[in-house]
Amino acid sequence: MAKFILRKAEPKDVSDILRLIKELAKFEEMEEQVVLTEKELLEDGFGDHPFYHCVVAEVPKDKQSVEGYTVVGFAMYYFTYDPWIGKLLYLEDFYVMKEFRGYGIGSEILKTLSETAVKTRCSGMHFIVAEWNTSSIEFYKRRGAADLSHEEGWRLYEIDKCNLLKMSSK
Amino acid sequence: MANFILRKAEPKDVSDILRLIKELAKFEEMEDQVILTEKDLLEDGFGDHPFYHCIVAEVPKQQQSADGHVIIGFAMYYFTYDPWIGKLLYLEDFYVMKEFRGFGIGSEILKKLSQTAVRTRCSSMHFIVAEWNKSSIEFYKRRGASDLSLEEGWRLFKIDKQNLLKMTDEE
Repeated sequence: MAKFILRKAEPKDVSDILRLIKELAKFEEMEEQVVLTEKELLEDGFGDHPFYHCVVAEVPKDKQSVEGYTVVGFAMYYFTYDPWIGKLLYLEDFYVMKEFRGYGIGSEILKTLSETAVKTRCSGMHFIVAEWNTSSIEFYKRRGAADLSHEEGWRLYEIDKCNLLKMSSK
Repeated sequence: MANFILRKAEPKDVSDILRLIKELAKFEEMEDQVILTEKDLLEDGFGDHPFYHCIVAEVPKQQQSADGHVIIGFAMYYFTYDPWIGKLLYLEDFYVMKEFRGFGIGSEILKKLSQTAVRTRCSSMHFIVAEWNKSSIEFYKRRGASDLSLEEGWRLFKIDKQNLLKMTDEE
């Protein structure tokens, strides 16, 4: 059984955070799309104005992963704003290494995030899930998650950098 | 033709911002769901750590709306983070009063947001649109927007306060 602790990420964790981001991206078959660097994660998460927050799951050295890691899971989140109800906690990335699943680490992370959301007076937690990811959808639905895309018809759109530049120079 | 200026919202604008939020919610047939107050908007937008940013569109007094308002449009946005590419500008609310449409105010607001996004080194702008809102979808598609829900299958989920509290109590 895996002993573990959850703690706020520190600057020293950016290398592990990037590793886990890439592992999750690999699972989504998008690994080469990760262009973010440790330097950016450091500046963006631990500067004067953090653009994200991270919770990491750590196991003792004697329980380290096959390749020797002790940081085995993470959640990346930030605060968003709903003009009808105010602050929300937005869960951006959430991942536990395969060999450490089934020990309740994911549940504990979600519990910690829920406590953070309540403590900071957020009205709810939002996140997106790929429609093919049925096991994640079930994980969240067991905890009361509602599919707003289904219920309210919301679709996520993007205007990429190229088109932003086009618009800004018109 | 409407003369107008775009500027950063100031604390004095919260009353107009809330009015426009409610007008947009009314259009989405959700007006009674707006429980946010001017006090919340003030604390959350103009304190030490702003949770949102706002641009407002203002017309001169002689061009005020039928009901006497000079703030006739707004956009609310904040910064989000994509773990693959970094900072993004997230457009949360975007509305121009009906009688002031057709004068390019919406286009100017979007242009200003684009400049903000580029200046703050954001990789792109994200936002959600209701699938029935064809005119908005067309407005954005004309500017190069792509439907990530369609292309990548993303669905928006929420866990509300009640269920969050349930989780915090669980052993």
